[in-house]
Amino acid sequence: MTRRFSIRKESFPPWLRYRDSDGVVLCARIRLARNVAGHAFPGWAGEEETKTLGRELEKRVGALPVFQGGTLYRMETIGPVERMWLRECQLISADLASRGEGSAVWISEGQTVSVMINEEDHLRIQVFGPVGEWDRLWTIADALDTALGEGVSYAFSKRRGFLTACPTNLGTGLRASVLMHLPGLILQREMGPVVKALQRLDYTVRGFLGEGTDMWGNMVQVSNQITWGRSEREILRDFEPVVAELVQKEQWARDRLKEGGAEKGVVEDQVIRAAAVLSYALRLSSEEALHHLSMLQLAQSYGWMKNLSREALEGLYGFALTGHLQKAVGRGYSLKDWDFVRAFHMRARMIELGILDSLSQQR
Amino acid sequence: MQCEVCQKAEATVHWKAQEGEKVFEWNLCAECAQKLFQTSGGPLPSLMDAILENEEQSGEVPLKEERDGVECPVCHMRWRDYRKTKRIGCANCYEVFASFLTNFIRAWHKGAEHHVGKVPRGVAVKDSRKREDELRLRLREAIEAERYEEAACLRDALKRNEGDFSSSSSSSSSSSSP
Repeated sequence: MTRRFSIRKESFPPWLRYRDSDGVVLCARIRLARNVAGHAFPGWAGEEETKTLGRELEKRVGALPVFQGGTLYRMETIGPVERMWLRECQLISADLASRGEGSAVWISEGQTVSVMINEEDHLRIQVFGPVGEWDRLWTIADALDTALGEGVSYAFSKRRGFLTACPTNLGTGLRASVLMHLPGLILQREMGPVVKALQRLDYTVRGFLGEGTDMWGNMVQVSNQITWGRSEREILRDFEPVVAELVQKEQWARDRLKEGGAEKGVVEDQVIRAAAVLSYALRLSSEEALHHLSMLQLAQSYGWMKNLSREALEGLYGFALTGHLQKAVGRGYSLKDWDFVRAFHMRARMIELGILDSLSQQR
Repeated sequence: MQCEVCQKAEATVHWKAQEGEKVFEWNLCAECAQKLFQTSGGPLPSLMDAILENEEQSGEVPLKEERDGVECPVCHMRWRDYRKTKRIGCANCYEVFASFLTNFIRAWHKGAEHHVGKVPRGVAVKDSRKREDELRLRLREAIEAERYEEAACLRDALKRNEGDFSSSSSSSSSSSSP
């Protein structure tokens, strides 16, 4: 039988702490792709070259002041749980999670900056923060990039800009992305046209953990596709109004959901069901838990969740994510048992918070 | 509607291709359409295949078998390897495969011609490009603030500046073709 444990704040998914007050934009990120001149790109380099360059880059990245008190994770020394956890934190990509010796990631103490080494490109600098602070995020990314560029010579061509393993990233090598929580648009079945419109404007829409997690927890990641022929500031300036419009569309969709029209009470019903499942289910998959938590977060934005603080919600998300849960519980269960362990902790915490009771009393 | 590639002539052709999950749909002028994509019918071609097939027909690139054997002397990646991995081998590959990649890269990045933005320390940039970068930003700001007179002046300045630049960039691109 499983035992209760207290989830520590460090094991909450870091991106949730940046979310706006309505939980629409959860997190913003800037990523810069860079390669070192005179070396084959990681996908084509030999084992020796990958190891040697990897070690050198580890040292250079680790010497940056931002990584004082930070953590280095070498891919060959960490197991699947840690990889899954880093992935769920969005601190590493699926690509890095699948790599071995020579690949690593440096993560700053507050988890606001990470630099992946020997991912698809030699270096991927990532900076995370709340939406609406693109200038600040860019300043940080720019400074880190400049500092690293003093020690190594980057693969760069005057015409094509920074050279990347995939030609779709070259030029600035800059990818700006936002992790969005869009229950309004998704429940109103308006996501199809929205995705199409975004693609037409040259933005990509992905699931929160990339392929295969489409719209899990009503979360999607939106990012720019064009990286060449526009300056970094232009890319960010173009992105800003796109995100703002998405937020507005989501707000409208949430308003309509709340009013309900002909189907009055539909969203209240969904919220209560979500709370009931989280409070009583004996087994819960990650996908299902994330969906119900999305309903609670939606209800929170409607002001229906008096007993659920921002922080308490972050803790519940920690249970939903398998890597986070495994890291917190710290004992091995077989993969199918985690749905049972998850439900056990979720039930206990939901009842402790009194969420279902408080929701039904409001009715 | 303006052609989405050259952004000059009137768009008369609607065209589709696919790259990864993304479907490309374009409104092109007759000239760009002919230049970039002549294939039609059947399942959506990949953007790169469509471009290369078309270039093959017009003799701009060698035939597929010949292309596949082209090898980067620095990292020894062959074009065949790139088609499999979809990832470039090293910085030099961009020069070796330039003529196969140019139109794909241009199409993906919506007709871009040259890098705009940050340049690593130690790389000298032509003044005209730095100036263009600055002019483009000022132009956008002027348009957003509805200062149209200033915007018109900036646009003219940008045009003159672009003239300087494109003459130098086109000569460098033709010299890298095999």
